[in-house]
Amino acid sequence: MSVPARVASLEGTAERGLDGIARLVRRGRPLGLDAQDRLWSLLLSLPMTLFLFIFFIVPFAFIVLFAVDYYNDYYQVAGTLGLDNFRAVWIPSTATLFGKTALAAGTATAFCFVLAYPAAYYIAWQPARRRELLVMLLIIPFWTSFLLRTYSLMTIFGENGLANQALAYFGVPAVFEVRNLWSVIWAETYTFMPFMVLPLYATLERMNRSAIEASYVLGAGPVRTFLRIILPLSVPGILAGSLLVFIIAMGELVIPALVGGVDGGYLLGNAIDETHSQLPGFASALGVLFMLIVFAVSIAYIRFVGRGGLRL
Amino acid sequence: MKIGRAILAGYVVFFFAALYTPIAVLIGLSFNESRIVYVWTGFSTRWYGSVLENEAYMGAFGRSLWIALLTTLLSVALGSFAGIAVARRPPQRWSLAWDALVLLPLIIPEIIEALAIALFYQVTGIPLGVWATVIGHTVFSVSFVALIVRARMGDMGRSYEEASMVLGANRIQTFTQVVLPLAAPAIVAGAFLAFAASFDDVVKSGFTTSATDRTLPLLVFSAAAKGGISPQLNALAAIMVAISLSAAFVRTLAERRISRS
Repeated sequence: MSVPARVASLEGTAERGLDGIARLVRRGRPLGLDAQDRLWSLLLSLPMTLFLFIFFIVPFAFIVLFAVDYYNDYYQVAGTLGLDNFRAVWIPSTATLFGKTALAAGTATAFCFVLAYPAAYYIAWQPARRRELLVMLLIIPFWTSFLLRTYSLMTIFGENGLANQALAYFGVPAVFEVRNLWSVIWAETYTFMPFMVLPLYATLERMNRSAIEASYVLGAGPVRTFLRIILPLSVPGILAGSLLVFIIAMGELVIPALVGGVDGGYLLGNAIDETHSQLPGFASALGVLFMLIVFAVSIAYIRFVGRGGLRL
Repeated sequence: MKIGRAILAGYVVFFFAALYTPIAVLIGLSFNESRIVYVWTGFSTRWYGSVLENEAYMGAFGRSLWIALLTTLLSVALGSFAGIAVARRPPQRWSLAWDALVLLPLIIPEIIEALAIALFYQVTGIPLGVWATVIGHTVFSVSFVALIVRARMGDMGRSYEEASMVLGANRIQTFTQVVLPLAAPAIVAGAFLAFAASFDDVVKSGFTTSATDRTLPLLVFSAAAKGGISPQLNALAAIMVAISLSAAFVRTLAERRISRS
């Protein structure tokens, strides 16, 4: 059979497995190659789509249903709708909880940005081979568990930790401790650093170099070029990195529990964690408010910072 | 300019040192013979021995490995097919919805996902335990696999497939003999990421395991939250880091193969 004949047989007949199904779907009319293609892709992606629909999308509905009293705290259908859970959440201590969590997450995001930008900038301007190596070095810590990296910070910066011992060696009194909101902020900065540095690097590496050259040719100095060309062009990376770090830090519960002490040990994530089995309605109301804040921050950030907010 | 560049290079050295010091300290201290973590009395592997003899830790270790393995298999089965399908499909109305479906599990805070699935299990009567945890982990692990496979297959274009079909192979043959081998390095890379994400998970496991089948990270978490650091925990942590790092290493090799071909 010649090649064109084979192509013709592929297009024309619908006898092999999938093509037969395709034919049934189209009520006997033979399909063009394009439509068969679509059906084939649909079949391939169907299992994952179904899985995510059942175990990811549907469960979200339950947060809302519990929050609005459709289910009661005994996991039974109450059948009513009400705002009791939101009233229970609407108290000053919850506001403090949200405020403290947002303060820690926001500060950690800012620290991440300030510390990550120079490193990402440096790496992006290296020759290709060294760049590859350095990026690999950035990714590896990503692979070690966040829990264990926080744990190791405890061994270094704890009261009797290595950092204080090193200071004592030089006769300096101990300054480090891991039991307040500041230690949470620093631990989050360290732990979530990859989420900031990788998007920043990706943007800087892809940046149009001729715009920078043009800036120099037209007489701008390095500072002006940086402020007016490089920084504004890195906004997509800054956006992606800081949104990622902020959102992840808002929901963090392991770091506060390990290094937060009395002051910073109970943040939003811990509140949801501790109330979820006894008071699912309360935990869900917290979760709904949390999601609303996440959406609001994302939209505001993309609108104001993403569009001209960072033109210096 | 030259001074500026030197300062920047110096900062980058500091940056990487800061990134790696805690990991190095963790591994270093795990070999300390002393009962007191901070007093170095000599090199010893005794704490590794005590971890290996600890039945609670070893039971949880086996469970964590088992959960991570099942999660990886499920994620690869679901995610690689979907990643291949989407990469080869022309952009259409549903592409955006698919992107959102795959990206959202990675963007939404884990605590919210964990709460959602815990409520879902309670209401539907699905018992907490190993399988509940595997399903919970697969929700984020499958996204890793699907995204990596899609990126790889998207770069490749469709000419190999078209050639195979033109030469007379049917869809199934083309899929098993041409498409899957081409996707294999990406699938391996995605599988290791899925494994590591599951093996290290704390938050979701906390919501989906029952009190009797806690995973290893959960035991480490509660021990560290209650009693702080201990030499035994150091050794256990070092073992876990070694496992994650070897997964990272193998993945890097797989990725190298992708970029070379």
